[in-house]
Amino acid sequence: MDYNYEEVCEVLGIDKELLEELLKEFLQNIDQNLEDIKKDLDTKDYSSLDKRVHALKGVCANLRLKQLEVELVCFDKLLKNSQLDTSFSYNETFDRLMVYSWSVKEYFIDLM
Amino acid sequence: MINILIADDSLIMRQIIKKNLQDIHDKLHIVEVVTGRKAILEMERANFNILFLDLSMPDVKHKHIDGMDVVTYLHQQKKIENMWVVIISANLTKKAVIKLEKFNITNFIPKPFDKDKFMSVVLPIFSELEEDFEEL
Repeated sequence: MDYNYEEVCEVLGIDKELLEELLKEFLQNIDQNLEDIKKDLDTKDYSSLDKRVHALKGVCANLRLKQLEVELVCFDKLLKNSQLDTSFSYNETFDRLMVYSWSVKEYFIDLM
Repeated sequence: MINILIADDSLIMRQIIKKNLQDIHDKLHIVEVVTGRKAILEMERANFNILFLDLSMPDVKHKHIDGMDVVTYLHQQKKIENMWVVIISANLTKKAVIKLEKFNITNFIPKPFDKDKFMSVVLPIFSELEEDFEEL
């Protein structure tokens, strides 16, 4: 994973200190967010799932966490196209999300 | 003092908007809300010069009121004429923009946040507000 603090600060119009605070905020909540997504998947609450995925996608997009954003865009599209009928597609998508979230947490371990 | 209401469910987004606004002007009173319902409640209590409004704001505790519902409320209460409304959203579809333009809302900032786009929309609003304040 690669992350250019300078570029992200520039595009968001904020300093590194605030960016680190926002990343910390994100990292503190990511496990709970993924847990909630998993719960919605298990209970097939696709309305709630859609909102959660959409919100998390927005946060990742704003913080320029590209890999996670790409996965969440795929997830969002699957949901919008109602392609989550099979356990395979959602489990596979969710597993990829977990993997990328681990890589993000590992990368920003100093902030945690 | 410029009164600003930021209605966005994302804390991160609100922080970014707030920081960029504080870089433009040092006399701001900023109120933040996370749902459409709270945005309406705040606007019933006070007058704002600028509203930054997200279109998608889930509300788990109450009946869902999204950004478009807030715009409808503003239109019904004839509040749109008295304040600047800036839509900041990832859902700026052509259909949504056409609908918002019918309510005379023409300031749109797409997400993800981009400082240049934000400033291109917000700086002219601040200039007009300052001119208005000078006339008073």
